[in-house]
Amino acid sequence: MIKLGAIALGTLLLFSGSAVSVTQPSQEEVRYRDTAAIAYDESVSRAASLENVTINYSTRTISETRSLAYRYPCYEYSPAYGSCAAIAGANVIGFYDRYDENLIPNHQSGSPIGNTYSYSAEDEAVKKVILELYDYMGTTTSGTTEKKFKDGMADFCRDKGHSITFSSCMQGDTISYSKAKSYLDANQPVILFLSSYNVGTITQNTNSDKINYYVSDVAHIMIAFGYRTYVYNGSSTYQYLNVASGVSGYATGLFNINYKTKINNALAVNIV
Amino acid sequence: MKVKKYLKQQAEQDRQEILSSDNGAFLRALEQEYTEQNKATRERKRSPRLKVWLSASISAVAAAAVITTCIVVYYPTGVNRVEYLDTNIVYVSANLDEFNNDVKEVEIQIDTTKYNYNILRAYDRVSGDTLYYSSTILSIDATVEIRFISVCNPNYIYKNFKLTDATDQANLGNYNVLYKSWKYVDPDFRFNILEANAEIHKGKEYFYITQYKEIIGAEDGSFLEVLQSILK
Repeated sequence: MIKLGAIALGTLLLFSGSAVSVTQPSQEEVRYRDTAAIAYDESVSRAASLENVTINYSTRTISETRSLAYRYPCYEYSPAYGSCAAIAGANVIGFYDRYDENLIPNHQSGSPIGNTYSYSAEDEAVKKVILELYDYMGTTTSGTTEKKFKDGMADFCRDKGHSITFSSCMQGDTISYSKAKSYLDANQPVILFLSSYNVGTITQNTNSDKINYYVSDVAHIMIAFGYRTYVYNGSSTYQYLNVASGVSGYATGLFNINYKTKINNALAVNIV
Repeated sequence: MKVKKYLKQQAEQDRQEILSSDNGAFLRALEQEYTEQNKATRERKRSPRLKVWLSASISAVAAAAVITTCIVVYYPTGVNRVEYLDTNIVYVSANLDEFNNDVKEVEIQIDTTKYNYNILRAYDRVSGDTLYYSSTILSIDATVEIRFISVCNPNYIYKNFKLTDATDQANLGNYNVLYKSWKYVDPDFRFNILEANAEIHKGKEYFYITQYKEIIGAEDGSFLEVLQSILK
């Protein structure tokens, strides 16, 4: 009687675990076995958290700011789970499509506005590129690795008659904000490989700014198209990168490089 | 009765004589062993009863645990309770007809002489259920951009947006909208910008305006007018 009850209970617990489990995959679970590399798999909305941070101040200055466009490419189309790398790659391709329309055929890259540029919204041609990059990068539902991302981008560009270069924006194991800014000043987007990340929007008020963050601890790739530094009360500095995140509801925003994030690598990218 | 008493006395007397004889030690040891066996037997007879109670209790607890687990895991807590995992969400392109077919409470109308648009349908790849639509609408002159999420599945909770500090409300005919808006000067290009976030709840459907961004001049901007022109 006892044995029967124990067996039944054990069996039930085994099946109940598979029905309700929604735990995030651990770093080990997203690694490819042969390379032990980090696989980037965040694409659509995950069980991330929304956080609000209020900064009270007496003085606030934006000490430095630059954006490569008023509206930069910020695509969201996710054909399958694990698409973040393909979406990020497409944002880069979409950026450089302005300088060679053949990168995305049958697609108007954007139009000038004032003294800047506004990139077009996602269309069927862009979605086709995302699907192509998904394959070029060897993406699975577990995502892909940094190496496969870079190889996939190189193969895509080569097939379009272009070459691509990647330049490090790291200083040891941490991002070099100054290096990233230098490349952005040179009109080169920066690819961010992250194990955890945030995307925020700032609502500025008198004497207080409120930052609404989307925070996720899932491996992800985003593209930076600008930077902005806030200094509060003369000494408290907040360093942001303007990003296209590929995340539903937070497709564009500010990435705080010092808030709940682990930056595995940052590479400036140039397509010639 | 007297005979019985006599026989009992005689038996006791005989017992004493035997135990005091040469074999008495052996017999006393034998008697002691027999007594202990009887005692162990009596205890074993008591233990099975205890074990039965113990087994019954454990079985009852195990059965209760099994039943409770069944109820917690498998019994629906509401009508048509389903599990949608974020890892199973996939996007596909969608058009206005599909949107208006799935979304019941409002109708989307887009003047293509003024706007370009992109609509994605998010669905659960396991069940095939549509969860929500993600729409991006950009004016042809790039001065207005609006992104919104239309949740048409009453069993799905969209987690990526939360309207905070909303202070304004407006009735736009078919629905009420709760919103907040703010103006600033774009630090990069010096445009005057109006931004807004909003939420509409009608019936069992939710609409989240996750981004509204408009380049404005001296005027106040057209958030509500633009919204009303698109969501009927």
